[in-house]
Amino acid sequence: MRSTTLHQPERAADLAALAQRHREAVWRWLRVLGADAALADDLTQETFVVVLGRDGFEARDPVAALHFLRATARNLYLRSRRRRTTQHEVEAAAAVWDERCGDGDGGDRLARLRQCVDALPSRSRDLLTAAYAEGCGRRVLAQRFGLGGDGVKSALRRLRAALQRCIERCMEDER
Amino acid sequence: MTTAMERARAAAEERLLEAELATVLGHRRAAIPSSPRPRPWLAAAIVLLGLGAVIGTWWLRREPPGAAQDPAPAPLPDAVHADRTRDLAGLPVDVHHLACRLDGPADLAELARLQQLRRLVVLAYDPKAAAGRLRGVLDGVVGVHRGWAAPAPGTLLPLASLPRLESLALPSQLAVDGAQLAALRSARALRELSVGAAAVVDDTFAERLAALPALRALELREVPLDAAAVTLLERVGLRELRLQSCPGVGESALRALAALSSLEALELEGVGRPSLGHAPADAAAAAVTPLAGPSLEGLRRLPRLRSVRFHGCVLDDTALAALPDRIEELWLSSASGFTAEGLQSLQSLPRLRVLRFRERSGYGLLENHRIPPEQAADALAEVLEGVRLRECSFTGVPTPRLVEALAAQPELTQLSLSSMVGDHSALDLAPLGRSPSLEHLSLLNQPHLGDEDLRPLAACRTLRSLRAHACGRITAAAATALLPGVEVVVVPLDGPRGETK
Repeated sequence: MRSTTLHQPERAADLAALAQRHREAVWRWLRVLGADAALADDLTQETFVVVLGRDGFEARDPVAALHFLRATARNLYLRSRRRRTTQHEVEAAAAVWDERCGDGDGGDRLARLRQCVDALPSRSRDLLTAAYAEGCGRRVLAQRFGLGGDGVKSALRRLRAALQRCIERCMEDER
Repeated sequence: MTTAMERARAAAEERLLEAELATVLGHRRAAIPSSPRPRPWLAAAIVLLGLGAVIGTWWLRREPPGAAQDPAPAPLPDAVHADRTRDLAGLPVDVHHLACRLDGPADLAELARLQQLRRLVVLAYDPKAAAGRLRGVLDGVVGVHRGWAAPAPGTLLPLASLPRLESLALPSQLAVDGAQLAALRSARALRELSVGAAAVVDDTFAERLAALPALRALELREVPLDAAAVTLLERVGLRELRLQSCPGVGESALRALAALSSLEALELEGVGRPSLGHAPADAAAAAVTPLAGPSLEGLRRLPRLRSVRFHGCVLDDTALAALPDRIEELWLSSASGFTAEGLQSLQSLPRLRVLRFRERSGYGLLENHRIPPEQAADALAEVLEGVRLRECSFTGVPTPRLVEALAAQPELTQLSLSSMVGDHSALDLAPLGRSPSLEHLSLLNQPHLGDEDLRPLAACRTLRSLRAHACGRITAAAATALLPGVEVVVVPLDGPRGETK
């Protein structure tokens, strides 16, 4: 166990590697808790700031590190919007994460999702990319894809449901 | 309760998938909100949430004393170079770091195929540079492509298609304005932007900068700036600002920096010194107007400022005394205008952890150089009595008193000692053998040092690496034998390659 301080360069290197490895997972966890994308961005950073200031944090055990990061992120999230989040919402988020991702960072699910997205028709992929990568709003999507506002909403809902089923099928096939 | 729990769970499932999609598809921000339910109190909730976020952010940020920081990006490899546009075709598609000279702005389109680029430095190809001694003859005859000064709309669009681009430096001759910057809005990874003299900082420029989703650092090179232009940058939310020899940066512009409340690091170059290349009749440009305390008062109002770097600036004692006491990093590199008393005032920076001090080359010729190098070193020794450094880089005359003071620093892990060219004083390393925490020692331009001078360092149990560049008679073999377990790199004055053990 390395007990280190903020001032030691090897600790900084460990933490940099830790941040690289886990920042996406922490961000997704914050989103599952209910943070919007911008708040998740901010709190992901705050989470690593907290870790930087904590002596004795073990950056080299990935499971323990992720566990600590998740707990820190959750606390920061609750403090950021204490009056709006109920206990059962947090419990539900934790249950979903534990069930889908276990102790890990959800990398397996991401790999399956990638496969499932690749298997989609190109127009569906384009719609997802415009929505989730480019951040286009519903009105822009409607114009770009020749749909009504409700049509965009329905199409995205159907795609998400199909992807969810696809992921589960992939995971079951591999068991 | 069960129904509420099921609803919460379904919503969490939905959010997990959305977050995963954002990750898989390449970006995280601004995903579509999932099926909002109409809520009559939505407007009030938004206001409350906004207030909560502001208060929460303030509360969280006041607690940790260290600077907030992004998760660190992976280290970059060394740059690959391309001298002309025609050389781009031979580059592999997986280049991460490129420095290139382009014939004209339209050639930026050639870079779109390099989808792995993370850092890009673009220079404008100038035929005169290749003309050698004929350069003067070509003045006014040839020059950089005129398109740099009047770029076509959408010139920067090809760069926005580079999904991993984090750092971008554009040619000084490129007239970057707000309209051009708009093209970079979809450059989701872009954290650092550097623009040069032809850029125009106005309201639209600042607005477009603010729209760059990941921008953290801005470098302005010789861009004319006044207080109004600095104030415009407030909305950008910058964490780091570097102003390199920007005309117009004086007291009022520096005071305006107080508006940039998100700033964590500030770098100033050439402030207070005469403009280089000014017209002989331009008395204002020729005048030395040292930075004084009132100019830097605005910095005290920046709540997150942790790092201040001066390069080639002229600043007087009152400026040094006015530095915010929260700063953790200070560079005084080739700076002048202060006295020993001014340097000693740095003792009042209780959080200072990183200090870089470099004497100004040719200091003897400068009227505004007010302190001989030996006195500066001894003044810094006094400063060290009041601060606890982790890193120190010193270029000058490392006097025995300074070396003793450095050795006594309880938390100093990294130390670089460089002598000035032409300095013939001997450096005694013996005190460093008693350094309690020193891990990395770098020695540069110490012609009098020999292998035996390293022997006292063997007593330093924390030492892990020694680098000796242009250090007279030090040899890698002897240094390794004297310092078992220490990584030794020796680079002689006349050879680019080091002996490593």
